[in-house]
Amino acid sequence: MVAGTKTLQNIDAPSDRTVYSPRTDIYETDDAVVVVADLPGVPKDGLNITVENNRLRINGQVDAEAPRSGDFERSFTLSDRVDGEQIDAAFSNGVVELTLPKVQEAKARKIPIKS
Amino acid sequence: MLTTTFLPTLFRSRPRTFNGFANFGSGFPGFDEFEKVFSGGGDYPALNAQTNDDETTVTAELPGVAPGDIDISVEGSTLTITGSREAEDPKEGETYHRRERWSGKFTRSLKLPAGVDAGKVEAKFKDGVLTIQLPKAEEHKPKKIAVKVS
Repeated sequence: MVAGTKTLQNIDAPSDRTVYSPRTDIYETDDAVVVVADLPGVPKDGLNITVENNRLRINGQVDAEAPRSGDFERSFTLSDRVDGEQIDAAFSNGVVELTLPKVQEAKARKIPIKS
Repeated sequence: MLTTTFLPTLFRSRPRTFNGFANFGSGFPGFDEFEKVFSGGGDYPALNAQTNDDETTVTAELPGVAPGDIDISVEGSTLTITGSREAEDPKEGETYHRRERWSGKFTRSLKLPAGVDAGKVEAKFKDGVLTIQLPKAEEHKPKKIAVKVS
C-alpha cells in the first residue's frame, strides 16, 4: 500500500476541486500486470494507492496552489490472477507505475489415503 | 465526469484542428493555437494559459518527460514548446490491455498577447508540470489614468 500524508478518510471527503480520470496504460508481462498512469501536478505526498475488496484505487491530489485545478481518481477491478497485497509502486515526475505480480498457480496436493 | 473549468486547452475538451488557426472565442481573446504535431492522437500535451495585467502564465502537462527533453522558445509573440516522451512499446511476451497515454514527439505553439518581455521569461518543471511565466513589457501593461477633479 502506498499512502500519502493525506489520510484515507480524507480522500473520500467531497471536495470542490474538479476530479479527472488519469490516462492509464495497462499491460501484462509473464509475471505481472503493470498499470501506468499520468498524474501531472501530483506531488509524491499527494499520491494514494489502495486496494480494497479486489478494487485498485488510484487517487492523486494536487497542491492547493497548483496551477492545475483538479485531482485525479480512478479505480480498477483486479482479477484473482494478481496479488493485490504485493503491489510495487514507483512514482516520479507525475507518472505512477504499479506492478501487480500474478499469483502462483495453486500446486497440486497429494491427498493421503488412510488405510 | 470531466468538467472543464478552463477553456479551451484541457485535455479531451477541445476539437482537433490540424491546419490554420483555431479561434477559441470567449475566455481567451487573442490566444490562437496552431501547429500541433504529435503522435497518438488527441490534444496532447495539455496546455493552459492565463493572463493578468503583469504577465501570462502557461502550464503544460508533461508527466514522464525529462526536463532535458523539453525545448521552449519565444519568437515575437509566439511561444513554442517542443519535446518528446518515450513510447513504451510492448516487448517480447507483453500484451497491452489498455493504451491511453500519449507518446512520441510533440510541438505546441501559442500566440501570446502583445508585448512579452522575452528577457524575463521563466520556466519551472515540477511533478510533471511545466510552468512558464512570461512577463509583459512595461509599455504594454495597462496604465492607470488619474482623474483630476476641479
